[in-house]
Amino acid sequence: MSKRARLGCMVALLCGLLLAVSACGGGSSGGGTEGGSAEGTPAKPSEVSGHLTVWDVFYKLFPEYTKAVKPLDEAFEKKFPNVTVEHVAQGFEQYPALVQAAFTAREGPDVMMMLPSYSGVLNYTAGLEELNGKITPEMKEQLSYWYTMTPGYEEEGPHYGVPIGSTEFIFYYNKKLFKKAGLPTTFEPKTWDEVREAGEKLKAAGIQPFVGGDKEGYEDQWWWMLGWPTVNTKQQSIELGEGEIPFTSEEFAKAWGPEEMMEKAGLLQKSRFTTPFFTEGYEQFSEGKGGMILGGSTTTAYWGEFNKALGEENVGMFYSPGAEYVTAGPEFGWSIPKFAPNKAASWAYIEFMASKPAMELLYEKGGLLPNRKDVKLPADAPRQAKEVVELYENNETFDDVAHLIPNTVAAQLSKEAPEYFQGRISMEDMQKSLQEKFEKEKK
Amino acid sequence: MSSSPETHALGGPALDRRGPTARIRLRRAVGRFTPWLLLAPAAALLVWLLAYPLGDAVHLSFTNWDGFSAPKSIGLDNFTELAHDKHFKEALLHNLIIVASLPIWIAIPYFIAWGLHTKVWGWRFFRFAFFLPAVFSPVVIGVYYGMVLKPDGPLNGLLRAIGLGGLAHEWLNQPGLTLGVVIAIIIWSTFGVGVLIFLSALANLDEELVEAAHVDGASRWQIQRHVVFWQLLPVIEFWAIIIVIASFTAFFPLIYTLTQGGPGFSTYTADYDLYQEAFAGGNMGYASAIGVVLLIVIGLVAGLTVALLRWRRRLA
Repeated sequence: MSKRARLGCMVALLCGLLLAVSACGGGSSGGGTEGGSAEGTPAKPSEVSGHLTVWDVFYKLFPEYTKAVKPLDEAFEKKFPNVTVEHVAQGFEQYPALVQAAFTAREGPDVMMMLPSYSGVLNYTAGLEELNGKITPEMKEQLSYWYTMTPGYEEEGPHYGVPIGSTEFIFYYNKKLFKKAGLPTTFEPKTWDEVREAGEKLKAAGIQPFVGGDKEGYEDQWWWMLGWPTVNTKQQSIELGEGEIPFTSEEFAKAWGPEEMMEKAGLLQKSRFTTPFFTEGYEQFSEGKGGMILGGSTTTAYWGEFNKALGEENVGMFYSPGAEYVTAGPEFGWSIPKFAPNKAASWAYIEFMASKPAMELLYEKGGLLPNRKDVKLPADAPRQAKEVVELYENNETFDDVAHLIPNTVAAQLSKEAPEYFQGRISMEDMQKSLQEKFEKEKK
Repeated sequence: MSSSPETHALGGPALDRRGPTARIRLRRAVGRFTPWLLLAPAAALLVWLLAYPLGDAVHLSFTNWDGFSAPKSIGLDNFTELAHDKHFKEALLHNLIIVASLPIWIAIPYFIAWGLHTKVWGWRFFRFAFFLPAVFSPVVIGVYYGMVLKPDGPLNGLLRAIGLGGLAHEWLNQPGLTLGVVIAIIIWSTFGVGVLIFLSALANLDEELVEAAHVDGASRWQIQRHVVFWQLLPVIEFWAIIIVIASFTAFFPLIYTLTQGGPGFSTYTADYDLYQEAFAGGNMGYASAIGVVLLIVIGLVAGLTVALLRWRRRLA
């Protein structure tokens, strides 16, 4: 091969790298803001037309939710016959990257699903439409969790999304296995020690106390989230998100207490660090392989699936014992990116999805708890659904702390926490590393 | 061409005299410009798709840009931060460890190609079989090995079944082991390309030299070492450069699907870091700085590799 040919090959190969480097380049013109009109009025079907592309993270990921998507879109298209909807399923883990790429390219869907608070919608306010001019007084009055769509976590202020559903995390227990271990079948622990003792009894009876999966590090994050309100206040969670409380603080470290306690007592599975939660982990509970699991209060790893497998009467629930407040928030929010070409149709879609009939349908087909005051659960709703609604209605609620910190910090937390629990790094190392990441992100 | 008196009056003969020279000049000019003309569309594409975005990325590396608002110039801040970024340094180290496996990466396809070149029994099948992994998407390979290497997966199952349970490991959850596993999978998935490249080079081998060495009583190993190797050295250089560049840029999809940079950050690589910063963190300026540093590092490592191989050739 001649020198020139070799040089040519080298240049050609370097070109590949240049393409990768240049992918970070590109236009940087700012998007415009649609002027805030007077308070919104309901969209009129005769005035709205076009084709809508909707990006959805839960569609095709969560089986129960997926069942609701088609009927909901069809109901919308029936009400707005001049609008067609293309519902696009996006990967959960890749979603922040896709959203970022769409905003940078100023191209993408008409309607975007957004996770609540800083983990989603509030991280992208620069690229999203402010919706106050469109939100009707009725919608504002009926829906809860507006603060998760508003900078500063206030009920009033610019809203960048419309909250849908009501959810968070909760502990489930298998009553049959509890009975077998000589434990009460109505388990209402007042302290974490009681949870540990129950776990130890299960273990003594040859039953795996906790099942799940932590390959992605999500489960550690959830333990931390549910540990947080038992040692800190909701104001402290905001302060952590805003950098007033550092990750190197006692407040942060203390929230790991419950998981540390269970880990130390040998109640968590050894294989959890190599078990993916969503595809394998939570199914173990449905299969009766463990006494307890930390799961979602709707959608996946929730009573709907557990009830089917274990029987409604055998699935019990309890919340973090001694919590100062209960973590609760919307399942997601619907937002309109500034670059969306047909904002009228986009808004019509969101308005419909937040309406009473749509939220009833969402519960009926997908099991998502409603966040509309005028939507009540049907009389034959599972006992667990009613208990969750009661829990949220009868307690002070606030979004979970993991939603209040930058995505990248939460992602790093999910990477480092399994390392900590496997004894590879110290709590101090993890705290220092997270604080560094946080400072970098805030800068 | 016949000339009339009129053409004479109009200076026809003079034209005739100059005619061939002008034509030659024109032909030469056309000859000179034709390659440029033919290259122009490709060059324009290169400028549009590479030079401009590269310039833009270099420009962005000196800015703070979140992808939404206008980039803010911050001088060398991104590079200063990068110099203190422990995850980036760790990632770069992992890339360099992957590059350090270069001798294995060269040796395996080289010797397999030599074996196939000697037309061992079933060589056509083996050539196909060895190349097969190269046609699989890195995503497929990542997902596949993710399943195979699970603690209760087929590999550990096999080891236990044949009484080697002591060798069973959490292959993808042991920081000291996982990078090695990733490198092994990367080599497995790419060596087929190397085999093909070496096979085609071996097909063009100067057989007379080999025969001469044989006549002079050289052993197979001596022929291999003193005759074949030196003839293949330019191809080895080529393969080495491909590997060096690929080590820094091509295995992101595999790592993303197999380990996601974990456990912890033990398989985190520079291209993975670039992706995380740009698209998960929205730090486009910082990610551009990573890209620029990566480009420089690749240039240096590739240059060093070639220089090393040439120095070896000169020594010989």
